[in-house]
Amino acid sequence: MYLDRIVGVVGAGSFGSAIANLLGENQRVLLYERNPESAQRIKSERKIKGTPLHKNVAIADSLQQVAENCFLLFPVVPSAFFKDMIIDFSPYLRADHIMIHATKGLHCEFDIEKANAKSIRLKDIQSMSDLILQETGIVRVGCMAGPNLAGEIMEGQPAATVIASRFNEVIYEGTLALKSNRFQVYGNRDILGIELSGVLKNYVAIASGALHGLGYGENARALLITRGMAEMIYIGKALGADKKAFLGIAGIGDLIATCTSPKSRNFSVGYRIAKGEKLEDILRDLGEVAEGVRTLKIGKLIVDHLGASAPLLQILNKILFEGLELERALHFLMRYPVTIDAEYLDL
Amino acid sequence: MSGRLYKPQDYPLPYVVSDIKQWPIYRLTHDREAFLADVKAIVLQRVKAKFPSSRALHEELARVLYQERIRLTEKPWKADPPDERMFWNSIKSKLVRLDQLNSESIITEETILNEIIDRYLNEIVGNFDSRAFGFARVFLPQFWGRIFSAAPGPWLKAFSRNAKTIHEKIPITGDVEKIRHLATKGTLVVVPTHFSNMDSIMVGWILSELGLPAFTYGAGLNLFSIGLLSFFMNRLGAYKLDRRKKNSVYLETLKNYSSVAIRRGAHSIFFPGGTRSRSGSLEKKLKLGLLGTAVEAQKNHYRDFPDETAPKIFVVPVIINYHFVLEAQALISDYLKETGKERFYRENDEYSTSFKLIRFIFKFLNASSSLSVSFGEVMDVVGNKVDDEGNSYNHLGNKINVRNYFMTNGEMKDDQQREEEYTKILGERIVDNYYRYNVVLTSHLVCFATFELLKKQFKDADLFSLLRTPEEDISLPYEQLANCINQLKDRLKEMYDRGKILISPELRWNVDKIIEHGMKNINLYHAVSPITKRTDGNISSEDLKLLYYYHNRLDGYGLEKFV
Repeated sequence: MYLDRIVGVVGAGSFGSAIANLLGENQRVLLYERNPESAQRIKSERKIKGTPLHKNVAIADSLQQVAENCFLLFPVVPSAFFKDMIIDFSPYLRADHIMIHATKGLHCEFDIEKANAKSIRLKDIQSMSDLILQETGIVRVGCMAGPNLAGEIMEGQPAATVIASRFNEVIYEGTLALKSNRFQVYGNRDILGIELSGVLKNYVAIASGALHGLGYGENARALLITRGMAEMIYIGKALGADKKAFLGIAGIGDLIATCTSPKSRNFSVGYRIAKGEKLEDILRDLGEVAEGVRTLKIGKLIVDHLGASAPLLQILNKILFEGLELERALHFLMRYPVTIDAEYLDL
Repeated sequence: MSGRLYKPQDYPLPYVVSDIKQWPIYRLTHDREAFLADVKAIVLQRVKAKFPSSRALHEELARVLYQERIRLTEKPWKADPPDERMFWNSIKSKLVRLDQLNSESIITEETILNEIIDRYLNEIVGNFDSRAFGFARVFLPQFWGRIFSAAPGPWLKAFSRNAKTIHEKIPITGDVEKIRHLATKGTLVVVPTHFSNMDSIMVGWILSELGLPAFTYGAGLNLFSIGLLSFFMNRLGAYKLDRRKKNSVYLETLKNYSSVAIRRGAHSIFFPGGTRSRSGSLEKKLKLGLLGTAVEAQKNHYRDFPDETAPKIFVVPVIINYHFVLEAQALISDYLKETGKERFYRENDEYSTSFKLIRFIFKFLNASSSLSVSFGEVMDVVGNKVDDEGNSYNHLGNKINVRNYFMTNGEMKDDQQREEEYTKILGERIVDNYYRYNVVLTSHLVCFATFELLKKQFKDADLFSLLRTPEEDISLPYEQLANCINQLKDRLKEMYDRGKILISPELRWNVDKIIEHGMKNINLYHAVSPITKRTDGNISSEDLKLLYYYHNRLDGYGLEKFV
């Protein structure tokens, strides 16, 4: 520990605790868990899912305690619960707090199951940083994203992340808090691009799992990853992000990690679909949310709303929700007219 | 909107601070030497921090010299002092000598920098004269009264009219009482829209009518070569800014002049759009440099004072709406010439003599028109709303301490990039206010509808070919225009109810009266009419460029969908 300060982490899921442990190497950490029983258990066992907590990590009693003791806050909760969390947190947050979220997902003001692509408004689809700005008095907001599989971080393997923010100060403070011998931190000013990279890669990971499940090898996977990234760039550009973010660690870097790791939840959704399992059963088994499934639905609404085309996203929707056979879908994709390579660089 | 409503006959309101000697600008002028020394010290420190070695400073000075010599040959103005060339020649020879001499010379990069800063400061510095201010307060209503006089007639007749009727012609909307009160609690930074060279005097006068202490403001150097304008501006707290000078030392001097003035409590006017709006539309992108000085000054207050005593800076957007703009023709030609071709406007000095200005005024004496002045929401320097006592509230309605914006982990830290981001946020809020507190005048609505209908009629033509359409080919059925205006009226009413825009009282009239009022007001000034009625009753235009210019005033609201 070399910094004389306390930083806060909200959410003691697998990634939340991985981040808390990373932060614990540099300073004291207050970790908040919403469920009082889990919080109590973590407090007595000093372990989360079998992994010991760093000695500098303490379990917080309340969000208020976190806000009052920490100027730097890392919320790490699934996108579906993010808004509720931030509303609970809001009364204690001020303009001198800095918040760097690590949630890879989008929030929708409407019900995504019932929404009609024509009638939705794009401003009702928000990134987590939008939510923070909207629901709290915090101005200095950032996000972290990158190839950060929680399990590998917990094991102490080397990794890197990107912190994105309009404010250099946020990148600086985040880097100071996180950087260590085994964890490298890069900065980026395009927060929307970094957030969208983290979100959109999820559905490509499902496709990658499916390819793997069908028994296809590395040629097919490499093709999927590169073209998947191109599609992410198109969607990102349409939503106002810069292409650069997608070509960095949080874009292509994270994409490679999630598309090649059987440990990734989204990957395993695709894998099991290919093995003939039903989506409902898989989701029930997984327990935790597979952001990719949500991303597919929201992504389709966005693409249809804009009248754009994103073949991979559209065909995956057909596979998961309309029962299109995988082989036929693949056939369609392979016959999709293409022109030149790496054309997205000219966007 | 809360607060007391003032009637036209209430103006001018009593001064909020009755003793002129207590006005911040008076003290600033009185304490001029110390003030300038303050500015100079900061500029020196900033420039030296940016160019720490004498080598780097030398190169920068050479760049300044180069830029200034280019300006002298390519864009000379009458306002330039006669010894301008001599001064820069002497700087040049000193720099050359510095190259040849050894380090024992008494001339150093720093002494040259000193000399340049002194020259710039002397040029910029304004001079407030309390006696002239009082005179201006009495004289200006008559001046404006004649310009915006409602009754057409010989100017002598207009001259004899009671000056106070002017206030009926210039409706002021907004929470005047709150602004008056806040002027005693902190420093006001008024940020008006910018359409005309008349704006600075106009705003200065309106603010004095509200009983506020005199403001300091930057006015283009070229305006000072007009004797009459110069006379007033010099005495009304104006300082000079020169947009041709884009070198680092000048910009630093200018910025700090304004920043230190605000820090010393001088209420200020900034035109955040930078230059006058060429296209005639409301400003969407603001120049953040000067605006940033307000943010910086507020931060310095928090650094220098504990919470309760730190003076607060309040930002007040003002939207000025003219039925017609004096320089409309020149502005829109500039705009069309520059569109897509060059990034920067050519800074010319039109209306360069008192004679021309007086001719202007005479032209106006027979014109009948009104304008409106509308104050937006008062904000702090990060764009939060403030209440009558100057407390800030964030968008959630929570009372907040602005100091927190400048704090990290319990400490106050200097961070220029952070301030730039805050300035951007402030800029966005100001633009938002411009749109929401813009008052739609009949002339704007009529021009907007006419131009949009013509665009539909000539839908295959691009903007430039549409603007070249000969007058005889333009014929718009009157009924079509009337219907269109009726639809737009409904839409505007709906937007008004949702707080998206303001509308002038005339907009509640029936459509024929609206068209008549709009056409009458806009055509009174221009020699060629932007909008005319043909003998067959249809609508036409003698000058499509002007029509386009006035139409642009309602650009950016998505109204074209309702045409």
